[in-house]
Amino acid sequence: MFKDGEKAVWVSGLGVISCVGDSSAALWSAIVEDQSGIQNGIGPVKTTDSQISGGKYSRARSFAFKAARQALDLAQIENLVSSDGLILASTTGKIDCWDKELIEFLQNRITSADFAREFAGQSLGQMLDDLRIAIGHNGPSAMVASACGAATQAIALGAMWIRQGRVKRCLVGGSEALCDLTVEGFKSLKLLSDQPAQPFDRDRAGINLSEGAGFLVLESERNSRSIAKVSGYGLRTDGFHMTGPHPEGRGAQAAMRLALLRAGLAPGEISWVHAHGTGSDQNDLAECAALQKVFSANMPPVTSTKRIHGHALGASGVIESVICIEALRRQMIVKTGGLENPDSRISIHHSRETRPLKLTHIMKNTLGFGGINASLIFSQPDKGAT
Amino acid sequence: MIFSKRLGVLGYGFGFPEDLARLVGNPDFRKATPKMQLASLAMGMAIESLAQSKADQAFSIRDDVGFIFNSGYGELEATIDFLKSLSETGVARPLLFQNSLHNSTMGFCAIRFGLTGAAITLNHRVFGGEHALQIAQSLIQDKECRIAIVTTVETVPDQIRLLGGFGVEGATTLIVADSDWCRRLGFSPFACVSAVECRETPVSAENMAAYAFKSLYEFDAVRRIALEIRDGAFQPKESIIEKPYGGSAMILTA
Repeated sequence: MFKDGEKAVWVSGLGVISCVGDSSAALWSAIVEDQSGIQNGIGPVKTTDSQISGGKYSRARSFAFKAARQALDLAQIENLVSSDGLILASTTGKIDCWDKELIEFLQNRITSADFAREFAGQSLGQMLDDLRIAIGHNGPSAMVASACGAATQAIALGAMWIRQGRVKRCLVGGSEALCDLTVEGFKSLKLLSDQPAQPFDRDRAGINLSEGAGFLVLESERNSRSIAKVSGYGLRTDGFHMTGPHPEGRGAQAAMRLALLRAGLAPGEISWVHAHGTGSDQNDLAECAALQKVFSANMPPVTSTKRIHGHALGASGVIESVICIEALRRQMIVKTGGLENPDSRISIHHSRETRPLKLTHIMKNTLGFGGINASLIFSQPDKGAT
Repeated sequence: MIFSKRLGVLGYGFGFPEDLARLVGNPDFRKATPKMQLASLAMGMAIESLAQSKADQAFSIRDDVGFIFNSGYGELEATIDFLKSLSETGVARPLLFQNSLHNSTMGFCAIRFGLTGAAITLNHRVFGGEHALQIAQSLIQDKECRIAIVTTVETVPDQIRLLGGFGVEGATTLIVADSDWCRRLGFSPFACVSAVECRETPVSAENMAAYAFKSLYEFDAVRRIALEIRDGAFQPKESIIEKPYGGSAMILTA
C-alpha cells in the first residue's frame, strides 16, 4: 500500500527453523503455549536431521536451505529463475566452518593447505553462493551482514527490488548458528541471561542467544498464495554508539516514522507491534522510548516473543516477521512471555495475554549493534492498494 | 543492472595502508580496527572532495545520507584476535568482540561522520563493489536516501597475509546521487555511472579455495572507478573488469 502508488509487495511463502521446531506452525504453537526453547540461557536448534547436524556445510547454510525450501514450497515455486532475487542475512553464519581450524593452524596442528580448504568459505557471501547453488539460483543476489538488523534490512531490500521492477519474485531470509564468538562475546558484554529472557520486566536479566533461519517469498503480483503484504519499511542509523542504541531510540523512531510514511498510515492504524524486545536494559528502554514518541496516545499492544525462541541475531528479523504473518493469518496477538512486573520506566501498551484481535497492519521493529534500526509493516492482503 | 536512476559521482576518496601511520597516536582511532581506520580515511577524503563538485551543502542533512559498506573478509583481525585470546587465556575480550562484528566499521564511521540515514553492511568477496553500487542505486531510487556513501575495504591480519602473498589492501569511497537530481541542484559530478552488471552465477567454495588467502580488492568496481577519476582517465565508456575467480563485471559510465 505504498502511498506513492508504486507496486505492492506480496508475501506468498514463509519458512522457519528455530529452537522450538522446524516449521512456522511449531513456532506459533510454542509461543501460544508459552513453551520456551531456551536451555541454560541459549536456544540451540534441536534436530536429528543429518542434513543440518553434520555434513560439509555450515549449520547456518543448512538451516537456510531447509527454511528456504519451506518458503518456496508454500509459495508453490519449484525453481527460481533469473528474474528472481535472493537476499540472505547473517552475522556469524560461516564461522563454524573455520574457527576451530584457525586455532589448530595457529598451533601448528594442521597445515596451511588444510586451513585454506576450510577458510576459503570464510566470507558470508560464500554462504549465499552455497545456498544459491543448492536451490539453483542465478539471478540478482545480496548478502547483508548488518548485525541484528540484517534480516529486517534484507526484507526491506527485497521489497525495494520488487517495487523497482528489478526482480519479479525475491526469496529473502536470514540464518544464524550459535558459536563461541557470539556466546562468549555477549557474555563478555554481560548481556546474557542464563534463564529465559523477560523483556520489559523490572527483573529482566539479559538476553538469550539462539540460532535458526527464516525465509519469506516476496512477489510483485498478487496470487492465490498471497498471505500478507509488505506495506512499508524504514531504515535508519543512530550514529551514536558501537553497541548501545541511542537512549531515546532516535534512529528507531526515524525508522518507524519512515515505515509509516511509506505505508501511508497514521500511528493509530497499526494494530500490533512486534518489538525487538531482547530483554537487555539498553534495548528495552531505548526501544520503548521510541515507541512512546512515535505512538504516544495511539499505542497499540506491543509484544516481544524472544523468551520463546531467543535472539537469533542476523536471522531474528525474518523469524519474527514469520510470527507477524502468522498473527495476521490467525487474527490473533500473543503475549510477552515472562512479563510479570513491567519496568516502571517503560510506558507502552504491554500485550499481557494471547487473544484474538482484528489485525490489519502490524509493525515489526529491529535494533542492532552499530546503531542499526529497521522497521517493517505487514498488512492483510486485502487492505490498501493492489 | 541498468540503473533507472543514473548515479552521479559527487565525491571519491582512498585509504591506503601507508596512510595509517598518520593515525598513530590519534585518540579517536585508539580502539579502531584497520578497516575502521582505512574506511575513515577514504570517507574523510571523499567528503572533502564534495566541495569540488559543489555538493558539500547537500551533505549536511545526514538523514538523507545512506551508507553502504562492503568487505570481503569482514572484521577478520578482531575475530582472529578474539578467538586466539579466548583459546589461549579462556578470557573473552569485549572490545575485540564488538569490533569483530561485520558491521562494526559501519557503526564506527556512522558515529565519526554523524550519519543517521540508512546504513547497510554487505559481505561479498565476489563482486563486492558491484553489489555495493547496486544497493546504493536501489536506496536512492527508493528515496531511502538522497546521497549514498559507498565504501569498500579489504585488509587481513598478518597470519593470513603471509600465507597467500595477499595483494592489494585499502579502502575506497564513492559518494553518489541521482544524476538528474545533481543537475537540478547545480552539482558537477566527477563522473556518472549508468549500469553495473555482474555475472550472477554463484561461485562454489571449491572454486574459491585458490583465493582463500588472496585479496580480490584489486578487482573491485568501486576502487576502479575512483582510480580512473583520480588519474584523469575517466571517460564515458563500457569498462569490463575480468575477475580471477571467473566471470566479469561491466560498468557503463557516462
